[in-house]
Amino acid sequence: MFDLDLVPQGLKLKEGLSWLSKLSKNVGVDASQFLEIGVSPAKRIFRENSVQVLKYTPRTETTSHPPIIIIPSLINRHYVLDILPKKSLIEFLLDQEFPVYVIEWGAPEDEDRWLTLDRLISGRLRRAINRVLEHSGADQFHLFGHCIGGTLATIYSLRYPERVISLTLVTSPMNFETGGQLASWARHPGLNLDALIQAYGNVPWPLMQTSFHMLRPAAGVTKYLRVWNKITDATFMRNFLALEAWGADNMSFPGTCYQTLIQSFYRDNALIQGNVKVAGRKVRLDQLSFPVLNISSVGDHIVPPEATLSEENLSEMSRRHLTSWTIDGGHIAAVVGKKAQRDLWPRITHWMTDWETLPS
Amino acid sequence: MVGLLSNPKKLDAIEKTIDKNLEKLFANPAFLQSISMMLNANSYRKILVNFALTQIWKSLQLPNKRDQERTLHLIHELNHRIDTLKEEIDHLTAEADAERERPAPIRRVQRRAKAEAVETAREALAVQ
Repeated sequence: MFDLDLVPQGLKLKEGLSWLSKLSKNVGVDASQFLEIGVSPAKRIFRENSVQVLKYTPRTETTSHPPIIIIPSLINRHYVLDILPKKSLIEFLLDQEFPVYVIEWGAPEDEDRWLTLDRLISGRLRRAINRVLEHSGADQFHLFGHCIGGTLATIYSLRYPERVISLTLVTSPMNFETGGQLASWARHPGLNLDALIQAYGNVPWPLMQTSFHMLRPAAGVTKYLRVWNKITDATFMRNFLALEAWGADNMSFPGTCYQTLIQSFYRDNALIQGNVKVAGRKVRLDQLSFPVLNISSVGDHIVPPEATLSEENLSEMSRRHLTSWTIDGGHIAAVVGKKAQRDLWPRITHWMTDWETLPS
Repeated sequence: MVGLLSNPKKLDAIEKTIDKNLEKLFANPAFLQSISMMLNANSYRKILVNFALTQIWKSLQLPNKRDQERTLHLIHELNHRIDTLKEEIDHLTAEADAERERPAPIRRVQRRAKAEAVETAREALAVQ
C-alpha cells in the first residue's frame, strides 16, 4: 500500500476518503436524511388521488401579491425548485411576498394507466387550481410551469384563461418537431406504444431515466471525475449530492398520458397544429390573451431553445403577449444556477409584478 | 489519468467528443430499429405473462390486477363526473341568487293601472 501523503493527489484522496467514511456511516439511508433537500415548510391543502397541492409557509409577515401556482414536471419531483436552503426559488418567491402553491403530481397509481391528458388537465389540475383560489381568497393568479409542467400550464391557461394574470414557462417544450435528439427518438415509428402501455401500464421511470442519460452518455462518468477534484469542498459536494438525489428521484408516467405525449405531441406536433382538445374544446396557441414569459437555456439538451415557445408559433395578435429570454446553462440552470439566483429570479418577479398593476 | 483530473478543459473536450460520436450512433436508424425491436419484444413477452397470470386467477375465480385497476379507474371517472356536476350546481345556484337580488321589473299592465289611478285622482281633485 503506497503512502498517500507522497502522491500529489494523495492528500486530496485521504481527505476525500475521510469525508466518504462519514457518508458510509449512513449507507442504506436516503441522501435527503442528511442533506436538507426540499425542506421549506409546506402544508397540504388538497389531495386528489396522487395529486397534492402544497401551500408553502410564508416567510414574511404580509403577502402583497396574488398567489403563484407552480406546475412542475410529471417526471421529476417538484423540490428542484426548493433544492437547498438559500438556493431555493420557492424561498426567493416567498421572500418577495408571493404566496406560493405547488402542484405535486406524485407517483401515479396503477389505475392511472387509463388517465388521459385531457382528464389530467380538465379534471385534476383544474380542481387543484380552483382549490388554491378558494384557499387564498384570490380572484387571479400567476402560473409558473417548469419543463413539461409548463406545457400543461400552457394548455390549461389557453382553455381556462379567465383568472390567469401571467404565465411563466421555464424550459418548457412546445414545438416538438424541433425537440432535439429526444424528439427524433420519440418520432421513430419502430416503437409499439400500444404494446408498451399494455405491458407496463404506467411507463416505468427507469426507461425514461435511461433515455435522458443517453442524451449525454459520457456525463455519467465524467461528472464523477470532476467531483474527484472537488471532493473535499463540502459546499460543492452538498450541491452535487442534492442534485444527484433529485435526478435519481424519478416518477413513472401515466400510460395513456405518455401515449398522447408521444403520438400527439412528439409525432403530430398537435400543440403547434392546434389539435389539442381539452374538455371538448380545441386550444390553439394563437388564442393567447395574457402575458407569457418564456425562458430557455442555451445548453439544454433535453428541451433546446428552438423547442420552446417562439413568436413563429403565434399569430400577430398574440405575439405582443410573449416575452422571451435565453440564459446560459443546462435544463435546470434557470431554477438552481447561481447566476439565475442573482439575475434571473429578480427579473422574473419584477416581470410578474408589472402585470399585476396593469388592467387585464 | 492524474493529468486529466487536474485539467477540466481536457475532460470537457473528451466528453464532447464521446457525446458527439455516440449521438451519431444513437441517431442511426438501424440502431433505433434494433432498440425498438428489443423494447417491443420485452413488451410482448410481458403481455403474454400478464395474460397467462390473469387466466390462472380467473380459473380460480379470484380477482385479477387488471380488473381491479379498471374498476378503480371507473370509480375515479364517476368521482370526476360528480365533482363536475357539483360545480355546475354551485354555478347555477350563484346565478339564481344574483338574479333574485336584482329588483323585479314593473310589468306594463301594472304601470298602466298605476297611471290610470293617478289620472283619476287628478280629475277628482280638479272637480273639487
